[in-house]
Amino acid sequence: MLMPKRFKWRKQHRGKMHGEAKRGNEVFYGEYGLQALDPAWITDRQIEAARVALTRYIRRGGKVWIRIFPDKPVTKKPAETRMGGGKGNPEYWVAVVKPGRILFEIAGVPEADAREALRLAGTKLPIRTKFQARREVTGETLEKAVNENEGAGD
Amino acid sequence: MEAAVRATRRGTGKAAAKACRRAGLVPAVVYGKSIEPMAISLDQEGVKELLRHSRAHVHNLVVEEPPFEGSVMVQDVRYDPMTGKVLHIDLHKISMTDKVKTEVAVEVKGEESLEKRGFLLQRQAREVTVECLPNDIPAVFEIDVANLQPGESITAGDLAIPKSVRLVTSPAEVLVVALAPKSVEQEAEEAGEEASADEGKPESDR
Repeated sequence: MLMPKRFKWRKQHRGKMHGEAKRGNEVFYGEYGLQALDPAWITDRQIEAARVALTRYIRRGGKVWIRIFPDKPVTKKPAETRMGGGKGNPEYWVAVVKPGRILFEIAGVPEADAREALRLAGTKLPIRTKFQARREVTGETLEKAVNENEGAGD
Repeated sequence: MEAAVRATRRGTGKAAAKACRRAGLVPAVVYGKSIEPMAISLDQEGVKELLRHSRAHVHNLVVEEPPFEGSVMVQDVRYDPMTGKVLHIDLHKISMTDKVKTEVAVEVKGEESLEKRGFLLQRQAREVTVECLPNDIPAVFEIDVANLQPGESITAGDLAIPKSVRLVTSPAEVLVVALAPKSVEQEAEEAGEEASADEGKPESDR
Protein backbone atom coordinates (compact mmCIF):
# COMPACT_ATOMS: atom_id res chain seq x y z
CA MET A 1 0.00 0.00 0.00
CA LEU A 2 1.26 3.50 -0.80
CA MET A 3 2.18 5.72 2.15
CA PRO A 4 4.86 8.32 2.96
CA LYS A 5 8.25 6.94 4.04
CA ARG A 6 8.47 9.46 6.86
CA PHE A 7 6.38 12.41 8.02
CA LYS A 8 6.86 15.45 10.19
CA TRP A 9 3.47 15.45 11.93
CA ARG A 10 1.34 12.40 12.71
CA LYS A 11 -2.06 14.10 12.49
CA GLN A 12 -3.42 16.65 10.04
CA HIS A 13 -6.43 18.94 9.78
CA ARG A 14 -9.14 17.70 7.44
CA GLY A 15 -9.02 20.69 5.08
CA LYS A 16 -11.39 21.62 2.26
CA MET A 17 -11.80 20.40 -1.29
CA HIS A 18 -13.13 23.46 -3.09
CA GLY A 19 -12.58 24.04 -6.79
CA GLU A 20 -10.91 22.05 -9.50
CA ALA A 21 -7.44 20.56 -9.82
CA LYS A 22 -5.07 23.28 -10.98
CA ARG A 23 -2.15 20.90 -11.40
CA GLY A 24 -1.90 17.31 -12.53
CA ASN A 25 -4.92 17.80 -14.77
CA GLU A 26 -3.36 16.75 -18.08
CA VAL A 27 -2.18 13.39 -19.35
CA PHE A 28 1.57 13.91 -19.19
CA TYR A 29 3.52 10.65 -19.03
CA GLY A 30 1.36 8.09 -20.86
CA GLU A 31 -1.03 8.10 -23.79
CA TYR A 32 -4.32 7.72 -21.93
CA GLY A 33 -5.45 8.66 -18.46
CA LEU A 34 -8.28 8.42 -15.97
CA GLN A 35 -9.60 11.80 -14.85
CA ALA A 36 -11.54 12.46 -11.65
CA LEU A 37 -14.89 14.22 -12.06
CA ASP A 38 -15.71 14.61 -8.35
CA PRO A 39 -13.75 15.70 -5.27
CA ALA A 40 -12.88 12.95 -2.80
CA TRP A 41 -10.38 11.45 -0.42
CA ILE A 42 -9.02 8.41 -2.25
CA THR A 43 -7.63 5.91 0.23
CA ASP A 44 -4.44 3.92 -0.18
CA ARG A 45 -6.53 0.75 -0.48
CA GLN A 46 -8.67 2.18 -3.26
CA ILE A 47 -5.57 3.26 -5.17
CA GLU A 48 -4.10 -0.22 -4.77
CA ALA A 49 -7.35 -1.92 -5.84
CA ALA A 50 -7.52 0.28 -8.94
CA ARG A 51 -3.87 -0.40 -9.75
CA VAL A 52 -4.39 -4.14 -9.45
CA ALA A 53 -7.48 -3.99 -11.69
CA LEU A 54 -5.53 -1.98 -14.24
CA THR A 55 -2.43 -4.20 -14.33
CA ARG A 56 -4.46 -7.41 -14.32
CA TYR A 57 -6.34 -6.31 -17.41
CA ILE A 58 -3.36 -5.17 -19.44
CA ARG A 59 -1.23 -8.12 -18.28
CA ARG A 60 2.31 -7.98 -19.63
CA GLY A 61 2.03 -5.11 -22.08
CA GLY A 62 1.93 -1.44 -21.32
CA LYS A 63 3.15 0.83 -18.58
CA VAL A 64 1.12 2.37 -15.79
CA TRP A 65 1.68 5.61 -13.86
CA ILE A 66 -0.10 6.42 -10.60
CA ARG A 67 -0.47 10.20 -10.53
CA ILE A 68 -1.84 10.54 -7.00
CA PHE A 69 -0.17 9.71 -3.71
CA PRO A 70 -1.88 9.21 -0.34
CA ASP A 71 0.06 11.66 1.82
CA LYS A 72 -2.71 12.72 4.20
CA PRO A 73 -3.25 10.71 7.41
CA VAL A 74 -6.83 10.09 8.49
CA THR A 75 -7.51 9.57 12.17
CA LYS A 76 -10.31 7.62 13.77
CA LYS A 77 -11.50 7.26 17.33
CA PRO A 78 -11.96 3.67 18.52
CA ALA A 79 -15.51 2.28 18.44
CA GLU A 80 -17.76 2.91 21.45
CA THR A 81 -15.53 5.65 22.85
CA ARG A 82 -16.98 8.67 24.60
CA MET A 83 -16.32 12.04 23.00
CA GLY A 84 -13.31 14.00 24.18
CA GLY A 85 -9.88 12.83 25.07
CA GLY A 86 -8.24 14.35 22.03
CA LYS A 87 -7.94 13.45 18.38
CA GLY A 88 -8.04 9.79 17.39
CA ASN A 89 -5.24 7.64 16.08
CA PRO A 90 -4.04 7.67 12.46
CA GLU A 91 -5.77 4.78 10.70
CA TYR A 92 -5.05 5.10 7.00
CA TRP A 93 -3.74 7.43 4.31
CA VAL A 94 -5.64 9.30 1.62
CA ALA A 95 -4.92 11.37 -1.47
CA VAL A 96 -6.97 14.56 -1.72
CA VAL A 97 -8.43 14.58 -5.23
CA LYS A 98 -10.24 17.47 -6.89
CA PRO A 99 -12.23 17.32 -10.14
CA GLY A 100 -9.98 17.31 -13.18
CA ARG A 101 -7.13 15.45 -11.55
CA ILE A 102 -5.53 12.69 -13.61
CA LEU A 103 -5.44 9.62 -11.36
CA PHE A 104 -3.79 6.98 -13.53
CA GLU A 105 -2.00 7.00 -16.86
CA ILE A 106 -1.29 4.18 -19.22
CA ALA A 107 0.85 3.73 -22.33
CA GLY A 108 1.85 0.99 -24.74
CA VAL A 109 -1.60 -0.58 -25.20
CA PRO A 110 -4.27 -0.08 -27.87
CA GLU A 111 -6.93 2.52 -27.08
CA ALA A 112 -9.70 -0.07 -26.67
CA ASP A 113 -7.66 -1.97 -24.03
CA ALA A 114 -6.71 1.26 -22.30
CA ARG A 115 -10.37 2.29 -22.15
CA GLU A 116 -11.46 -1.00 -20.63
CA ALA A 117 -8.54 -1.16 -18.19
CA LEU A 118 -9.17 2.38 -16.97
CA ARG A 119 -12.92 1.74 -16.77
CA LEU A 120 -12.22 -1.24 -14.51
CA ALA A 121 -9.85 0.86 -12.40
CA GLY A 122 -12.52 3.56 -12.16
CA THR A 123 -15.00 1.07 -10.70
CA LYS A 124 -12.69 0.66 -7.69
CA LEU A 125 -12.87 4.35 -6.86
CA PRO A 126 -15.56 6.25 -4.91
CA ILE A 127 -15.95 8.95 -7.58
CA ARG A 128 -17.09 9.38 -11.18
CA THR A 129 -14.21 9.24 -13.62
CA LYS A 130 -13.59 9.96 -17.29
CA PHE A 131 -11.26 8.46 -19.90
CA GLN A 132 -8.87 11.08 -21.20
CA ALA A 133 -6.49 10.80 -24.14
CA ARG A 134 -3.28 12.76 -24.38
CA ARG A 135 -3.46 16.17 -26.05
CA GLU A 136 -0.93 15.79 -28.86
CA VAL A 137 1.41 18.50 -30.02
CA THR A 138 1.25 17.69 -33.74
CA GLY A 139 -1.20 19.42 -36.03
CA GLU A 140 -3.52 16.65 -37.19
CA THR A 141 -4.29 15.27 -33.75
CA LEU A 142 -5.23 18.72 -32.52
CA GLU A 143 -8.31 18.50 -34.73
CA LYS A 144 -9.98 16.63 -31.87
CA ALA A 145 -9.31 19.47 -29.45
CA VAL A 146 -10.63 21.90 -32.04
CA ASN A 147 -13.84 19.93 -32.42
CA GLU A 148 -14.24 19.76 -28.64
CA ASN A 149 -13.92 23.51 -28.56
CA GLU A 150 -16.93 24.04 -30.82
CA GLY A 151 -19.39 26.12 -28.85
CA ALA A 152 -16.83 27.41 -26.34
CA GLY A 153 -19.26 30.08 -25.29
CA ASP A 154 -21.79 27.60 -23.91
CA MET B 1 -0.36 31.18 -48.91
CA GLU B 2 -2.65 30.14 -46.14
CA ALA B 3 -5.51 32.27 -44.83
CA ALA B 4 -4.74 34.90 -42.21
CA VAL B 5 -6.11 34.53 -38.70
CA ARG B 6 -8.61 37.33 -38.11
CA ALA B 7 -9.26 38.82 -34.68
CA THR B 8 -10.93 41.80 -33.04
CA ARG B 9 -9.80 43.92 -30.10
CA ARG B 10 -11.38 43.44 -26.69
CA GLY B 11 -11.11 45.02 -23.27
CA THR B 12 -8.66 43.71 -20.69
CA GLY B 13 -9.48 41.92 -17.46
CA LYS B 14 -11.50 38.90 -16.49
CA ALA B 15 -14.92 40.53 -17.05
CA ALA B 16 -14.03 41.25 -20.68
CA ALA B 17 -12.62 37.74 -21.11
CA LYS B 18 -15.78 36.17 -19.65
CA ALA B 19 -18.01 38.33 -21.86
CA CYS B 20 -15.91 37.20 -24.78
CA ARG B 21 -16.44 33.52 -23.93
CA ARG B 22 -20.19 34.08 -23.45
CA ALA B 23 -20.29 35.47 -26.99
CA GLY B 24 -18.73 32.25 -28.31
CA LEU B 25 -15.31 33.82 -28.82
CA VAL B 26 -11.95 32.88 -27.32
CA PRO B 27 -9.91 35.60 -25.56
CA ALA B 28 -6.29 35.89 -26.57
CA VAL B 29 -3.34 38.19 -26.12
CA VAL B 30 -0.58 39.20 -28.53
CA TYR B 31 2.77 40.35 -27.19
CA GLY B 32 6.29 40.67 -28.46
CA LYS B 33 9.49 42.64 -28.44
CA SER B 34 8.30 45.50 -30.63
CA ILE B 35 4.65 45.90 -29.58
CA GLU B 36 2.56 46.70 -26.54
CA PRO B 37 0.54 43.70 -25.31
CA MET B 38 -2.82 43.66 -27.12
CA ALA B 39 -5.96 41.91 -25.86
CA ILE B 40 -7.90 40.35 -28.73
CA SER B 41 -10.70 37.86 -29.26
CA LEU B 42 -10.76 35.09 -31.83
CA ASP B 43 -13.73 33.39 -33.44
CA GLN B 44 -13.96 29.61 -33.81
CA GLU B 45 -12.46 29.74 -37.30
CA GLY B 46 -9.43 31.59 -35.96
CA VAL B 47 -8.97 29.14 -33.09
CA LYS B 48 -9.25 26.22 -35.52
CA GLU B 49 -6.64 27.73 -37.77
CA LEU B 50 -4.25 28.30 -34.85
CA LEU B 51 -4.66 24.85 -33.34
CA ARG B 52 -4.66 22.94 -36.63
CA HIS B 53 -0.89 23.39 -36.81
CA SER B 54 1.81 22.63 -34.29
CA ARG B 55 3.34 25.28 -32.02
CA ALA B 56 6.21 25.71 -34.46
CA HIS B 57 3.94 27.13 -37.16
CA VAL B 58 4.06 30.85 -38.05
CA HIS B 59 0.64 32.45 -38.57
CA ASN B 60 -0.31 35.74 -40.13
CA LEU B 61 -2.56 37.65 -37.69
CA VAL B 62 -4.85 40.45 -38.84
CA VAL B 63 -6.58 42.60 -36.20
CA GLU B 64 -9.19 45.22 -36.97
CA GLU B 65 -9.77 48.63 -35.36
CA PRO B 66 -7.06 49.86 -34.95
CA PRO B 67 -5.49 47.74 -37.66
CA PHE B 68 -2.57 45.46 -36.94
CA GLU B 69 -0.96 42.80 -39.08
CA GLY B 70 2.00 40.63 -38.19
CA SER B 71 3.54 37.20 -37.88
CA VAL B 72 2.73 35.37 -34.67
CA MET B 73 3.37 31.99 -33.10
CA VAL B 74 1.23 30.23 -30.53
CA GLN B 75 3.06 30.59 -27.23
CA ASP B 76 0.57 28.98 -24.86
CA VAL B 77 -2.94 27.54 -24.90
CA ARG B 78 -5.03 27.25 -21.72
CA TYR B 79 -7.64 24.52 -21.75
CA ASP B 80 -10.47 23.89 -19.32
CA PRO B 81 -9.30 20.68 -17.63
CA MET B 82 -12.84 19.34 -17.32
CA THR B 83 -14.34 20.16 -20.71
CA GLY B 84 -11.20 20.44 -22.83
CA LYS B 85 -12.40 23.73 -24.29
CA VAL B 86 -9.87 26.42 -25.13
CA LEU B 87 -9.97 29.18 -22.50
CA HIS B 88 -7.21 31.48 -23.66
CA ILE B 89 -4.44 31.68 -26.24
CA ASP B 90 -1.12 33.52 -25.97
CA LEU B 91 0.31 34.69 -29.28
CA HIS B 92 3.91 35.81 -29.63
CA LYS B 93 4.62 38.47 -32.26
CA ILE B 94 7.85 37.56 -34.00
CA SER B 95 10.19 39.17 -36.46
CA MET B 96 11.00 37.07 -39.52
CA THR B 97 14.62 38.21 -39.33
CA ASP B 98 15.21 37.29 -35.67
CA LYS B 99 15.83 33.79 -34.44
CA VAL B 100 13.10 32.20 -32.32
CA LYS B 101 13.08 29.34 -29.88
CA THR B 102 10.25 26.89 -30.40
CA GLU B 103 9.23 23.33 -29.75
CA VAL B 104 9.09 20.93 -32.68
CA ALA B 105 7.19 17.65 -32.43
CA VAL B 106 9.00 14.33 -32.77
CA GLU B 107 7.06 11.77 -34.79
CA VAL B 108 7.73 8.07 -34.43
CA LYS B 109 7.76 5.74 -37.45
CA GLY B 110 7.88 1.97 -37.37
CA GLU B 111 6.21 1.50 -33.99
CA GLU B 112 4.00 -1.28 -35.40
CA SER B 113 6.96 -3.42 -36.48
CA LEU B 114 8.52 -2.95 -33.03
CA GLU B 115 5.30 -4.08 -31.40
CA LYS B 116 5.08 -7.04 -33.80
CA ARG B 117 8.44 -8.20 -32.43
CA GLY B 118 6.88 -8.07 -28.97
CA PHE B 119 8.64 -4.97 -27.68
CA LEU B 120 7.18 -1.89 -26.10
CA LEU B 121 8.11 1.68 -26.99
CA GLN B 122 8.38 4.11 -24.13
CA ARG B 123 8.31 7.75 -25.20
CA GLN B 124 10.25 10.00 -22.84
CA ALA B 125 9.90 13.26 -24.79
CA ARG B 126 7.51 14.16 -27.58
CA GLU B 127 9.07 17.43 -28.65
CA VAL B 128 12.46 19.11 -28.76
CA THR B 129 13.33 22.78 -28.48
CA VAL B 130 15.16 24.36 -31.40
CA GLU B 131 16.39 27.85 -32.26
CA CYS B 132 16.33 29.17 -35.82
CA LEU B 133 14.82 31.74 -38.14
CA PRO B 134 11.01 31.44 -38.40
CA ASN B 135 11.24 30.36 -42.06
CA ASP B 136 13.64 27.52 -41.19
CA ILE B 137 11.52 25.90 -38.47
CA PRO B 138 11.12 22.19 -39.33
CA ALA B 139 7.48 21.05 -39.34
CA VAL B 140 8.34 17.82 -37.53
CA PHE B 141 11.29 15.54 -36.73
CA GLU B 142 10.85 11.89 -37.69
CA ILE B 143 12.56 8.98 -36.00
CA ASP B 144 12.49 5.36 -37.12
CA VAL B 145 12.17 2.88 -34.26
CA ALA B 146 11.55 -0.26 -36.33
CA ASN B 147 15.02 -1.73 -35.72
CA LEU B 148 15.46 -0.81 -32.05
CA GLN B 149 16.51 -3.59 -29.69
CA PRO B 150 15.32 -3.78 -26.06
CA GLY B 151 17.22 -1.29 -23.94
CA GLU B 152 18.25 0.78 -26.95
CA SER B 153 17.17 4.39 -27.10
CA ILE B 154 17.13 7.35 -29.48
CA THR B 155 18.29 10.68 -28.10
CA ALA B 156 17.78 14.24 -29.27
CA GLY B 157 21.34 14.18 -30.61
CA ASP B 158 20.36 11.41 -33.05
CA LEU B 159 17.83 13.64 -34.84
CA ALA B 160 18.59 14.84 -38.36
CA ILE B 161 18.87 18.55 -37.59
CA PRO B 162 19.28 20.92 -40.57
CA LYS B 163 22.35 23.19 -40.53
CA SER B 164 20.28 26.34 -40.11
CA VAL B 165 18.66 24.98 -36.95
CA ARG B 166 20.28 24.82 -33.50
CA LEU B 167 19.13 22.17 -31.07
CA VAL B 168 18.46 23.76 -27.66
CA THR B 169 17.38 20.54 -25.95
CA SER B 170 20.33 18.60 -24.56
CA PRO B 171 21.58 16.09 -27.19
CA ALA B 172 21.70 13.47 -24.44
CA GLU B 173 17.96 13.77 -23.73
CA VAL B 174 16.30 10.44 -24.42
CA LEU B 175 13.31 10.58 -26.77
CA VAL B 176 12.29 6.92 -26.95
CA VAL B 177 13.38 3.65 -25.36
CA ALA B 178 12.52 0.16 -26.55
CA LEU B 179 11.51 -2.10 -23.67
CA ALA B 180 11.26 -5.86 -23.53
CA PRO B 181 7.92 -7.22 -22.30
CA LYS B 182 7.82 -8.34 -18.68
CA SER B 183 9.17 -11.84 -18.18
CA VAL B 184 6.99 -14.65 -16.83
CA GLU B 185 8.96 -14.49 -13.54
CA GLN B 186 8.31 -10.77 -13.17
CA GLU B 187 4.64 -11.38 -13.82
CA ALA B 188 4.56 -14.17 -11.23
CA GLU B 189 6.30 -11.86 -8.75
CA GLU B 190 3.68 -9.19 -9.29
CA ALA B 191 0.89 -11.73 -8.93
CA GLY B 192 2.50 -12.79 -5.63
CA GLU B 193 2.58 -9.21 -4.45
CA GLU B 194 -1.08 -8.81 -5.32
CA ALA B 195 -1.97 -11.97 -3.40
CA SER B 196 -0.02 -10.84 -0.32
CA ALA B 197 -1.69 -7.45 -0.50
CA ASP B 198 -5.08 -9.17 -0.52
CA GLU B 199 -4.10 -11.21 2.55
CA GLY B 200 -3.38 -8.07 4.55
CA LYS B 201 -6.91 -6.77 4.08
CA PRO B 202 -9.59 -7.22 6.71
CA GLU B 203 -12.47 -9.62 5.85
CA SER B 204 -14.89 -6.81 5.09
CA ASP B 205 -12.67 -5.48 2.30
CA ARG B 206 -12.27 -8.74 0.36
